[in-house]
Amino acid sequence: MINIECPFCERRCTLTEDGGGFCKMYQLVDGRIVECFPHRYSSSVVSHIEAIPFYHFQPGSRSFMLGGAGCNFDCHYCSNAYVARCDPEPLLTLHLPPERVVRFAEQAGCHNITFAVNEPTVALPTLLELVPVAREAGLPVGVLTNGYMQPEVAVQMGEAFDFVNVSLKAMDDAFYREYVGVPSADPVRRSIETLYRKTHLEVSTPIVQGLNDGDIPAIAAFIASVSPDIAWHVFRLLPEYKMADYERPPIAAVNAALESAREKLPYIYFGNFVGSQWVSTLCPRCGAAAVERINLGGCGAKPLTYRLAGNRCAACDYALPIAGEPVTWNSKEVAR
Amino acid sequence: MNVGLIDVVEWQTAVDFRTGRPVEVEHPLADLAAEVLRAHPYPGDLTSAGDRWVTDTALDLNARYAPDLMLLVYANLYFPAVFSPLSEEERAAQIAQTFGQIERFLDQSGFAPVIVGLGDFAPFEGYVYLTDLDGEVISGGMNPRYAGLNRPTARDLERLVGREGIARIVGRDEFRARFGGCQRFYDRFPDHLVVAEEGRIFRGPSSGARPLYRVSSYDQALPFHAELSAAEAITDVAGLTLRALEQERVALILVEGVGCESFPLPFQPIGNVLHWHTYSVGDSQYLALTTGKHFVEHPYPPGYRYYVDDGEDKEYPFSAVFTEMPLETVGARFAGRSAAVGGRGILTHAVAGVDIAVECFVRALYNHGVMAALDI
Repeated sequence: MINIECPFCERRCTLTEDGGGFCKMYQLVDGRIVECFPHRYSSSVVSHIEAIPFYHFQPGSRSFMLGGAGCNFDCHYCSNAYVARCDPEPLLTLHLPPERVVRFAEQAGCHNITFAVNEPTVALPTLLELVPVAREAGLPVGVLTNGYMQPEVAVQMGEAFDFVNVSLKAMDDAFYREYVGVPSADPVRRSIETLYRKTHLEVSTPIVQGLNDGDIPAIAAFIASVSPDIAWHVFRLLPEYKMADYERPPIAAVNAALESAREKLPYIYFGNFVGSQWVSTLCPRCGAAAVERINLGGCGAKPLTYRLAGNRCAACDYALPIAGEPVTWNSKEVAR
Repeated sequence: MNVGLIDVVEWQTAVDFRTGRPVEVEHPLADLAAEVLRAHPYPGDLTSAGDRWVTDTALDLNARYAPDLMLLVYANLYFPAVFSPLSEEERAAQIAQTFGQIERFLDQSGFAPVIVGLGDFAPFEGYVYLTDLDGEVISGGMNPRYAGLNRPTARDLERLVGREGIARIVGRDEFRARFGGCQRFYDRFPDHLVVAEEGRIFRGPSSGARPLYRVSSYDQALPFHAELSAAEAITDVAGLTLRALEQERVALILVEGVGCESFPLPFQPIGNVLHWHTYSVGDSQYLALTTGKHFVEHPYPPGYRYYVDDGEDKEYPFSAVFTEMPLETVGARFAGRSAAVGGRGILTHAVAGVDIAVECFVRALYNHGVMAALDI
């Protein structure tokens, strides 16, 4: 029987004609690896890019957000297990070739397209086919990923996608082994280093109280070593799935740890709780709120005001690491 | 509503409700609300404990604030039935449990009840796909049975005629001629409205991922239970509640996920329709119940481009699609003390118009905590 190592994620599953890998999204057909569900999605909605979250890419923009199914991780606290850890077939009910995705995004007045909700590595060929069609229409494409991909895939993603947010869940391999189901965080850190060199990068970390909150200084130090300009989104995790009864992290304690980390890494955001006051972009030089945001529930936020001149602080002219000028939510409505 | 007090378990903050920005509040009602929120963390939408939470919180609020009008929303018969494979036996047990909670509230508080069931369910029969159309399709929400269609091509309209699962397609002018209503409603109304058959929902460019097991049925009538008054239509409930308040303390209790087929108390059926339109759980039905005005008198038509309103300057950002607080709600029209507790976020505070509304802060089934909307 023919078997081939899956070339996408770092699990490197063996694919055969009879069976798929861990994510169940690829199979071997006539000796070739193919996607099981090409151009199929489970959801599509219009979203603020900040809600996804990306705070430093096209602030204010309207994003056409796609979700699929399947994942190469088995995070015990997963908030999206109903799409990530279930049979993908019945979930992927939207058949949308790239031209249709772009049409929908344009009709909805969106400035860009994002693949979120689940892991893009498990649907990479579909997304790589979407990118050139979107680019032709002037729509940047971005993804949220867990970063657990092979080195060549990280390069490929970095070259294809205009903005990427990598979830770095811990620095400690034991956390990845016990609560994620993979042996090491090394591939994730490697992906972060690669993606930073190739594209606009932001990083996210869900804090699970008592399990990875102690990693905050080390994660901040690692991100700062890649670049202190990287935006780091720290989430107060609301555990679900196998850890639904787990306690929520104490906000004051997590925020105190983040305050220290801000000395190395100025763009740290703390969210995933309603009313968070740590979701605005503060100018590291003068302290002004260059982008004022509010949290309405969820990992991201909604922008209220911009005090920017291009990507510079309007108060002191400090250059902020923001890609693309701010746009207003309805700027594409005029052209309709 | 001018202050929102948010509790996400062990942390609270106050916001200006109109702007969404943090605000410092010193007011006895805010202190009271802070204590109520702290004492009653929400257990979540998919557990029947949510209805116990409504009763516990309402009794606490009643003890501390002593309102004459209390609006309660019991929503935990809705979410598990829609989003989990609940058997009919399990559903019957949950109905008994929810009405046990309602009875406990009434026994311990002494309010005169006005209870309305917001409708039964139909088995989920499948999706109606609108992803092949060239015109713009709007089909947002948890289980959309209406879809807006803008700038359709002739081919789009030909394709929809006879498509399985579609009950009707109506142009804006035809709809307006039949239903009337306010200009603001038609300012946002789509070029065409597409209506699904019972049991079906639309899949279009704005569609969620959660699997469905049931959807709201097309109920011509809703069960109405009250000791003192009688109603004929959904739009009579607000007026009857206000008239009853002239005599006694009244609890207007809205119960999602139960209709004439499943309501366990004696009831009178009241009309749940305007012409061919039937209401189901959502802002239109809630507004009809608490303002006494049909959906065409409010600026939120079915199938409209809701996200256009969500710009940087949108007021009331914690109120989702509501761009203003409805003025003619039962709470706003009542001069006495009023309060609300609801297991249905956003709708509870937006349609109640009371002095203090305590509701769960749940978005897309993610339980973030609780919020009190205060008029101070």
